[in-house]
Amino acid sequence: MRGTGRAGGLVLAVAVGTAVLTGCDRGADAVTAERPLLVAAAADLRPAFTELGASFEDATGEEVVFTFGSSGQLAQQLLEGAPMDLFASANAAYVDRVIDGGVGDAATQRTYAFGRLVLWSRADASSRWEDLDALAADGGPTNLAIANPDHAPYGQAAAEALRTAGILDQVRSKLVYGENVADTQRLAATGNADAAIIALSLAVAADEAGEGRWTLLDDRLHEPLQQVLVVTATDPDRASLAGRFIDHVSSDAGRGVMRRFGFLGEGEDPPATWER
Amino acid sequence: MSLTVDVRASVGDPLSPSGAFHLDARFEVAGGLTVVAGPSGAGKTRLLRLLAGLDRPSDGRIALDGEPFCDLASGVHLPAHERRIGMVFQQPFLLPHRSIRSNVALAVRTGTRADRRDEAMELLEQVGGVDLAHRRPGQLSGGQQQRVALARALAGHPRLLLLDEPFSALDVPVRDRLRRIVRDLVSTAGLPTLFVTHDPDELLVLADRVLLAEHGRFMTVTDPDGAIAAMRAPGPQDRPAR
Amino acid sequence: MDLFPLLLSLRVAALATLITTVIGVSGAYVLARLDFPGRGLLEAVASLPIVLPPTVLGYYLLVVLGRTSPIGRAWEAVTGGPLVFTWQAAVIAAAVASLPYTLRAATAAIAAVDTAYEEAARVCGLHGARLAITVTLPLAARGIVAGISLAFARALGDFGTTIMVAGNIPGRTQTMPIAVYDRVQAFDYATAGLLAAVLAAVAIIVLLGVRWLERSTT
Repeated sequence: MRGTGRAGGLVLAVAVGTAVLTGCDRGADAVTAERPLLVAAAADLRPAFTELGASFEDATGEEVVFTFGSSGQLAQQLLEGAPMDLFASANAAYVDRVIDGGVGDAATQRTYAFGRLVLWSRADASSRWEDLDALAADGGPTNLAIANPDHAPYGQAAAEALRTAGILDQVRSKLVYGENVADTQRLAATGNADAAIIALSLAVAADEAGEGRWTLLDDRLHEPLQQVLVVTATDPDRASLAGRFIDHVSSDAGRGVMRRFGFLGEGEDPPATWER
Repeated sequence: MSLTVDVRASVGDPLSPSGAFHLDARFEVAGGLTVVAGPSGAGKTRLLRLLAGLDRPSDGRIALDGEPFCDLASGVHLPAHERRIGMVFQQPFLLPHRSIRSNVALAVRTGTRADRRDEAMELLEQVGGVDLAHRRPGQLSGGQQQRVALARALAGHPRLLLLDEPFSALDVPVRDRLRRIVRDLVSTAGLPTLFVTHDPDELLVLADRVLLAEHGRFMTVTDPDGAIAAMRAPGPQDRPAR
Repeated sequence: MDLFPLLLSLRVAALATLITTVIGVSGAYVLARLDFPGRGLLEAVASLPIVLPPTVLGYYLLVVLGRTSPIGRAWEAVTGGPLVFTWQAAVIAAAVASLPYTLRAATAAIAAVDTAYEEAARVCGLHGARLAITVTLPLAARGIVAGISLAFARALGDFGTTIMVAGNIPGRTQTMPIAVYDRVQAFDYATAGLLAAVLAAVAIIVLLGVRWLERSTT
């Protein structure tokens, strides 16, 4: 009898504790404008947008929260009803798909930057490959990481670049796929892949930590990585807040940050310091 | 009181040494303590289970004072929990997670929680187990547990008491004591009782009358010596395998 | 360290475990004590979440709970927003993923209870739910509790299914396992390691607590 009493007491404690913890969150669940701005952004934007999010908060006092992932997966989630206010994709096709699916305001659709590919490997790697042909030659890497072409625009571009360079068939057996371009870099950074084709923005961010060596790839090898965004908020207040964030990104200061992180504007050339 | 039994059921596993056979019990028993005796495998336990409602007969009728427990012809089958019968098995089957008093109180069917507890204490007193009230079954000996099982069986003011070799697992002196308690209880309460045993001494001490079981059939016996001789005869289990 | 993922994970796991305990124990009683046609099939289907990859499970949950599904639409009609990508969806994901642990352990534990105890209790007048609660379940308690604690640990650690139906929204649906993943994606290994260690410590404390509780009641 005593045993059941104690077990019952514990169940009660858990139930009460749960109710309390549940109660605490009521505010965050309410659909109010006091919620932070929710931005779904392609994985390659993490370094740039994290900084821009912080400067936006400093400037306006409004909090921004990011979900980074592969553009294809984010598009999928938005179509399933994910409550994000802004979608910054790594290509145009996924934005089109989202808009076709009835999510997002087509009028707010715009290109915010162009992405570039680099061939990247760890700073302390014993071998280095300066260009794509070296990947297929003797002494090439045992495995080469690219983002999954099925749903990551940088992966599609990487596969396209390999095909255009004429070496896709030779390196196919060496390919390993990252879920998104950041995951791809991690594969090379942890030594699980000898080299990776990733976004310039991620290579630049890794430079800050002195972590890698890379070569910029010719952008004529692939379709332009036209990075497009669209406002997906349905509530007008949140849509206007999203608009303010877009303005912040597109401002002169914002463009400077984007450029520094490897996102070029239309017709811009990469700064000389990047040519390695 | 009158217990009328007229049932058929199949007993046993066709693959076991004693084989499967049919139970066909037709008898009537008046009050007092009836010993159900007979060799192992004769169907005694099965009979008690049928009376308790734990098993269903394939055909027939059981009635207590004219009220049917089951009547297959008219589709009546009173479930075990509604028959108001007390039963003591070979093992006590007391709930190990409850105190002795609580075990007995569970079987008291009416009253508030306090009433049931009081009644449980009275019953424990009748079987000489009051000082066991706050212990747990795991702390008791086999004999003590069977005392409690007996108290529990009496808790619901049963109309019929069934005991299936309740003391066979216990030592002789313990058995003697408990037998005496049963005899006294049955006499004072005037409770009709069926007591299965295959110990001839128990038969002598307890029986007001004897129901002899043999291969699924039951006969009222008036000659105790004849009954004892039959009990000592080898049962189907004891026969050499064919 | 941001406490939100930890608090969210604890809340999600606690609620999911409450749900799976009720469904798992009552379902186990039926499976162990009742015989009906299709019982084997039902048992097999109920064990699917263990067998299926978490993302496959997440996909099917998305189909069942998504905006175009009957459940999703009903939810949206009542609350004004979709069910998916909320913390409630995370609870459902964790509950579905961890239910088989409770169900299987409880079914085995209940089936192992000697029916003689139940028969003796029946003759004493107990039946139905009272019989189950007074006799069968306490006798099966050891195995049931083991199953529940395993289910809790599983619910606490769910990743693949949760991220499919609830997403990775910081401050909303980012549970601890997802937060660890997110930190790794951001190359912030230090924080990832800290979060992982905290999660492991919490799980260990809870499991030890359950053991202590078990010991002190037997």
